[in-house]
Amino acid sequence: MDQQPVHTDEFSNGNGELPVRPHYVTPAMSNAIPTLRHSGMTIGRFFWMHVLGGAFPVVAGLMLFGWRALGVIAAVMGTAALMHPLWRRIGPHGRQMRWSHTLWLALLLSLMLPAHLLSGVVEGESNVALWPMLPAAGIVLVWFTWLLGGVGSSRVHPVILTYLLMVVLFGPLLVPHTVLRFGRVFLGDVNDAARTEQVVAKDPWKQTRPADGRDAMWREPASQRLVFFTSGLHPAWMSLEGMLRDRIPPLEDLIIAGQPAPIGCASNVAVIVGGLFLLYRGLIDFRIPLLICLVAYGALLVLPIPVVISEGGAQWLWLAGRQQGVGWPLALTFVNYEMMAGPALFMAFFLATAPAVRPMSRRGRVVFAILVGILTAAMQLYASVSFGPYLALLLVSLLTPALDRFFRPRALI
Amino acid sequence: MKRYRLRMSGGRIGEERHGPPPVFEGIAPAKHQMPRASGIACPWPAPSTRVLVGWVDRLTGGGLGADRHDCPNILGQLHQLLTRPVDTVLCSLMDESPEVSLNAALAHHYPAELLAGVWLMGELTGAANRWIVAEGGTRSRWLGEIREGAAQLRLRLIWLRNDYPQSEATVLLYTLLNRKLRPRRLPTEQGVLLLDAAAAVDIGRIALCDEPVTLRPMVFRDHSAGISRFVHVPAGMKLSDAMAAASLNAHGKELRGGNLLRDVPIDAEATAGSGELVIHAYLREPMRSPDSCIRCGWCVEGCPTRINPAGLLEAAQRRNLDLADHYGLDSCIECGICTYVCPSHLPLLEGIRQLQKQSDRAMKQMAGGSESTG
Repeated sequence: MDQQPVHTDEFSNGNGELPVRPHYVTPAMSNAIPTLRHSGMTIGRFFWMHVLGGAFPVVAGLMLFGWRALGVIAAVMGTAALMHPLWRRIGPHGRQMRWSHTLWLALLLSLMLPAHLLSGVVEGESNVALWPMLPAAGIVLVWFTWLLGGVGSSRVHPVILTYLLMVVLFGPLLVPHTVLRFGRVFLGDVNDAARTEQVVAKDPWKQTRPADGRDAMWREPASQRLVFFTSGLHPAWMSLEGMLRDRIPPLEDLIIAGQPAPIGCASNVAVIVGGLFLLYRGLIDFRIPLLICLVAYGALLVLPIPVVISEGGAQWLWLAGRQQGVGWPLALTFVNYEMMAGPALFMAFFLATAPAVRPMSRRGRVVFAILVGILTAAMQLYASVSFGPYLALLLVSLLTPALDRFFRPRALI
Repeated sequence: MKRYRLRMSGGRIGEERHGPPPVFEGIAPAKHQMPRASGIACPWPAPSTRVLVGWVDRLTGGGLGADRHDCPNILGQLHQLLTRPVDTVLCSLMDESPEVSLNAALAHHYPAELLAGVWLMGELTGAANRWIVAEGGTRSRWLGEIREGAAQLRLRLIWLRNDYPQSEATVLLYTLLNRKLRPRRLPTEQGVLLLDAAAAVDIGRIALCDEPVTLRPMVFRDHSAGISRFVHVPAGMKLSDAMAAASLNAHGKELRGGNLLRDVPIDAEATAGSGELVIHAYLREPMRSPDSCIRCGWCVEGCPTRINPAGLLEAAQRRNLDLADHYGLDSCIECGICTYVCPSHLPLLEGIRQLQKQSDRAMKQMAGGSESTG
């Protein structure tokens, strides 16, 4: 063979190459430092970007609940950070634990808790100091994470298990009743509120001007109002229309901000923005939160709800919107309140999209989201608005292995 | 074909640049400039089987050879033509590595040969579809003569976005014709004769100029130095010698053929032949220990053939071929995208290849067993 030298040439524009950005380089990878054969993504970067998405509800929570909210977040995350290296040394489960994952879970848990937990004995409210619950929550969370096999192993969300355990043990103590006044956001003390007889304010939060000069306002949360009504145990005669008209705060306060709630669930707008950030970064699948919300909304319209509570009991009606005396506007208003008063959106964006909890295939995720949506509506109506969505996710996530096996991706060939 | 959704990041895919196509330099003073054919003469008679056989022998004897992802086993395809009709002749001007425009550059410099090659194969096979697939954007400006010639010869020019691994035979056939070609099988099994630009140019050169194929157009990409060399390498020349002649230092560097993500190692002592035409040279990167799978699903999302690479790795770890079938082992085209995107740095492609070896061994054992019992 002729082995004569090869002559070459280069382009005037450089290397003779044209830059391309392939489809598989997602927005999530844009901040990573790629090598020739790898995107540069790591597990740490993956979960730290989730934390960035969580920053939006964190800021909203700090605004509405002040420094106590920051303390709650710091206490839970700090405890989890201290416990992580201890449990990481224990067995193969410990080796599956990662810092970024543990801290992300701790942030999620802290966002599900109310800010008033960072307090001692509150006169008239509790006989015990509440703050020990926070480090206990961090410890239990890390233990559950270890028990369930660390990152990627568990189909059950350790945050949900921890929270539901707290609900079982300390249920009434977890109900938030206070929110900072509009003029004292970020800086005020959320426990500085006087309990009043006017438990429901019909004015929007921004326009409320308490005369007592305190930092915060005491309010019955909308979720509790709905639980009393949908449980059918309301002591006096009450109609759905009356309840929505007189006994529940303005819907805008639930959507934007201004009502007592867990730290991360106080502003559904912030939750949605955080979720959209995660979507934009390609970290979560849009199908899950979208379908959960749509299906839950539809299910709430269909499932039986009490339209009147009287001495003889509650009158339950399917598809209340079609019933005389109720009508679609009223039914839709009720469903809006159900969706906004509880943690349904928070669960849909931040918990149901967790990597190990949801199925891998698209069809599996669709079925998963539909089931979560239906169960969310049912649990909110018949169990509790406050923790119904979490319970729904816990139950459906037990089916994820079956969904993975049944709904594998449809291969090309 | 909606094989996957493209996720656009900050940059546009196929960013436009205004630059001339690369120039290939020749090899020896006598053949420094590989001559270009001035036009296409069409003396060939109407096709018949004997003519086809004759042409297959002529092309084989002329040194035609191509066995790469853009053009799988051209000789095998030609021989299958003798027993299996095709209805489509497809010439792909897209490259495995989209940033390297080797095929488009060949089309720019040797349009007559390329068109002749495609036209000839169309006439010989009697294919109803005679297509040339090219990438839009900058490269489309290099294909003026191809456009004109294709119009004259009634060859259809199709513009397609080249997003890796679009040029892979399985993905290309599915995109254009909705036909499902199993990986590692020949396109002629699905009624398609698939050529890349280099193979089409070789066919055209043998037909028009009656010259054997002695040169291979290749690109050497030195990632350490950040340069590429477009060269004509004498067939049979060692790659190390060719790279040295191209003033590229291959010493101490890893060599890979085709797209880098495929991780196909090439020995520096290998010779220029019918294999991959794009050779990457880079310094060995530090290995990173894999983490555990976090079930993010990015490998599933990124896979162009919609299999479950994480599930296949699990099957590889368990050495379970049934599980591998369940997760789509047969559909894997070994593009390597799963390994690229995995945050846990899992060796997904390596696991899949181990599974395929295991599957091949099992099939051979079964075939050997059935022969002995038969």
